[in-house]
Amino acid sequence: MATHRIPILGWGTVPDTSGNVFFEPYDVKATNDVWDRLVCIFNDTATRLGLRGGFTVPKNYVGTANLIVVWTATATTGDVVWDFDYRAVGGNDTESLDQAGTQEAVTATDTAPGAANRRLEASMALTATNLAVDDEVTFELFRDGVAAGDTMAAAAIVFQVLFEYSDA
Amino acid sequence: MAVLSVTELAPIRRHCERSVVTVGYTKAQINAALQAIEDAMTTRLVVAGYVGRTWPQVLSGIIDTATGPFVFTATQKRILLARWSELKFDRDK
Repeated sequence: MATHRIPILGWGTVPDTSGNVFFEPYDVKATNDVWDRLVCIFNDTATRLGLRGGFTVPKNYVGTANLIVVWTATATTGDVVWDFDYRAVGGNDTESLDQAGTQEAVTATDTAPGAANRRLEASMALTATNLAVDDEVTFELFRDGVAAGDTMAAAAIVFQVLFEYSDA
Repeated sequence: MAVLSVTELAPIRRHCERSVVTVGYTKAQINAALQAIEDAMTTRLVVAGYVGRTWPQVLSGIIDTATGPFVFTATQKRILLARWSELKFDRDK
C-alpha cells in the first residue's frame, strides 16, 4: 500500500464573489521577487471566504483520504481556520451532480509560520467511505474568518491543495 | 466613542498588512490598537499621567495600554493611525 498525493486545483477552480479570494503572482507578497508563480490569496476578513473546485477520484483509490492545504503567510503569529466542504457524485446516469448540501465538512486550525513565507501543511481527514473510484468530487475550501479561532491578521497564501489517499 | 465593527476593522487590518513586511501581531491585538485610537480620538481623555508629553507620546501610551503586553513599533503605530484616519475621513470619497 502506497500513499499518493494529487493536486486538485485546476480549470474548474473559481474564487467566490467576495473579492477577498483571488489569484495573484507570489512576488506581490514575497520579498525576494524571484518565484513569480500564481498563488491563491485568502484575505484576512471577518467573513468565510471560499475557493470552489472539483476533481475526480483516481482509479487506484482505496482509502485513507486526506485533504492537504499547502500554504504560507507573511505573518508569524495567529491561526487560520480552514474548512473543506465537499460532495462526491458517482455512477453513470444514476446520481445528480446538482445536489444541495454537503456530504461532509471538515476543519483544521493551523498556526502561522514561525518565519514569514515558510511552507505549511494543514491536513484534514476525509471519511474514506464517502469516496469511490471515478467519483466526481465538488468542493469548496474556506478560510473561516468568522471563527474565533481564526486569529491571523494577514492573508493566507495557498500554494496547493492536495488530495492524499492510499492505494491497494 | 464608537465601537469599530468587524467590517470596519477588517479592511484597516488589510491596509496595515500591506504596509509591513512581516505581520507579528494577531487580529485581537491590532483590533485593540485601532479601538484605542478610536476611543482616544472621540472621547474626553483624562491624561494626568501624560502631562508634559507630546500628543504622539500620549497616543502611543494609550495604544500600549490597550494591547499590552504586546507592543506595536512606532512605525506600526503611525501606520495604524494613518489607516484609522482613512477609515474615518475618507469613507465618503
